[in-house]
Amino acid sequence: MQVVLDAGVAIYIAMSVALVVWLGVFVYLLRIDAEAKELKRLVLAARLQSPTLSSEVQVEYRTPSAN
Amino acid sequence: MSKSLLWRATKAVFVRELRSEFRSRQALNAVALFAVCSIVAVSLGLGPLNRSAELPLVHAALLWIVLLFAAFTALARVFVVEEEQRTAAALRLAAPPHAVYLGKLLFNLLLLCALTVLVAVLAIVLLRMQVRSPGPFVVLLVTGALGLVAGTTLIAAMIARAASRGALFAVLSFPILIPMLVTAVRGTALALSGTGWDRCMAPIQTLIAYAVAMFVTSLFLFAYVWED
Amino acid sequence: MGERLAMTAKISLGLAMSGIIYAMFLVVPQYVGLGEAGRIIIVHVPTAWVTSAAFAVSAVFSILYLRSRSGLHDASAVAAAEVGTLFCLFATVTGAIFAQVVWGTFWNWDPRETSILVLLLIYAAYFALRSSVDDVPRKRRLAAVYNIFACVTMPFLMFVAPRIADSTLHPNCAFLQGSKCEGISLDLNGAKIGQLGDVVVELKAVQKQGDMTSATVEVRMPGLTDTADLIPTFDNAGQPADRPEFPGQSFRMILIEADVPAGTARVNIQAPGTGLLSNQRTLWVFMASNLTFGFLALWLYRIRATILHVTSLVQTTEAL
Repeated sequence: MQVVLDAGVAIYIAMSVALVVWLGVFVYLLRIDAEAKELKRLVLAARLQSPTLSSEVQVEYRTPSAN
Repeated sequence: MSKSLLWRATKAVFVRELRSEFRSRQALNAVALFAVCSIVAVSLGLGPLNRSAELPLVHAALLWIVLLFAAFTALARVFVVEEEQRTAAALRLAAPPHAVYLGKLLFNLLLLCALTVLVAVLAIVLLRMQVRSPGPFVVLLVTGALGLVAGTTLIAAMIARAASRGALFAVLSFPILIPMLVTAVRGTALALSGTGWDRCMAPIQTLIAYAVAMFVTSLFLFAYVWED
Repeated sequence: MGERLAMTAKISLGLAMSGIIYAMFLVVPQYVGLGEAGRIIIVHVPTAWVTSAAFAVSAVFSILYLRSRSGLHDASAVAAAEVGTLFCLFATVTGAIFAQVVWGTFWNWDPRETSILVLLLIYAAYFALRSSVDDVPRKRRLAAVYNIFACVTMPFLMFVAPRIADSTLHPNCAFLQGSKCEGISLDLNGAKIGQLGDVVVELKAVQKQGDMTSATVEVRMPGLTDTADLIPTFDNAGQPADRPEFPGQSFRMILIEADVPAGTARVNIQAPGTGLLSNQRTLWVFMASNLTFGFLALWLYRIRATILHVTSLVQTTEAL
């Protein structure tokens, strides 16, 4: 335990802990990112297949033409 | 819309608030009792406080805490009542949004000013708070009340239809009011300890700037809150 | 092509952040007076900047939402606010650790600490508001309004509150030109009591001893845990000489100006940390760290906005 708290060693240990935490977070983020993209692709594909379920209603405005 | 029309609608909303308040006296009774209770509680808790250099700061902080929590109980009512009595829809049809906001703001301001007078008098009598510069003290209280009302009336309209309104009103208002509260407490402490106009001007200007900023922003945003 | 570019960017972000962590511990030199604690600015300052940027972005998307009523804008506003809150927590925690090591207290009610706490409270309130309104369009509208309203109070916090407090321990004079760190003026015949941070100071005397000018200042620590008479001095060249330490703390009091006949003195707090970035290595690591944290926040924001948007799309589809 004394070795761990030694000033020369402690800083390397602190750095390694920070690095390991960051790598864990990074890998997690990469996975979440991939999953989010896949989810978006699936949902958009599903919406394209069933256009009646689309929440965005198209409204077309027409002005009477003076013919 | 012409200016006079807006003014007339505002006056109508304000007078309506006043009338319904005079009929029930709900808000005034509740708030006055709240103020009396909290000042008495504070006085009992503190007892005969020793004359120390920090006394003005302690008194100023207590005064503003009582005012803040009284405002939390009182100021949301104007919009909550509309929802409870299901009159909001009628009001939407009857008056333009700006008039509704201005009318309610004026009513809240009146209510809070009455409350401030009550709290200040009680604090002077029961808490034996000494006001060494009365002029700056009064101006600080008035500008502080302006800031409190300008900062909370929009939020009162927001929480009127949300779940657990009372708690939400305090939660939403508190962070908005912190800058104003810090300034008001420090300024009031200065006024209590007898500082003249020259050094009390900075907090007064800050409070006015805060009230104006909040008022203008609320005016812009109110239509979005009030639209359904 | 786009896919590959995005992947490359993400991998380089991972490597860059690892590099920042390495440099923070092993490349940045120690700063005199700060010891190892000075390293934390490599994380603390960038996270604080990213926090402000994220909240500004969130407010902009709130304005856009009120104009467009598009679910995408609302999702972006929420995502930015969430990323901002996360980084705000980082900045607060790293700042508190720094404060404990350097100033001797985790929390000092320094103006900067107050303003970041208010920021946290505002966004806690923002999320509380969102969770207590059920109707989706109204929830989005009210949240946007609150976000803009809260944003308007920011200038008051950043610029007004610190001026009222007169002084700050926060070593911002090291980085920001024009920030106010002028200390507090006390007057024997007038306002002799003031506050430095959360310490109450009272001027007792101003005197001249030989070529030194000194002021006797009574300091009362918060909660009256400690009181002491400090006697800071400056020499006839106007340079602070004696810098007595506050009782139980590791920051000092300096005397900046004193006028013996008039009975006035201006004192300030001095904490280590000023001039931290004058070292080239520290400066470059600091700049790289700002960039990296900025991109990290951007990435987090993109992920979160995508998820929120897709979720809301699914919900509206189900509702129909």
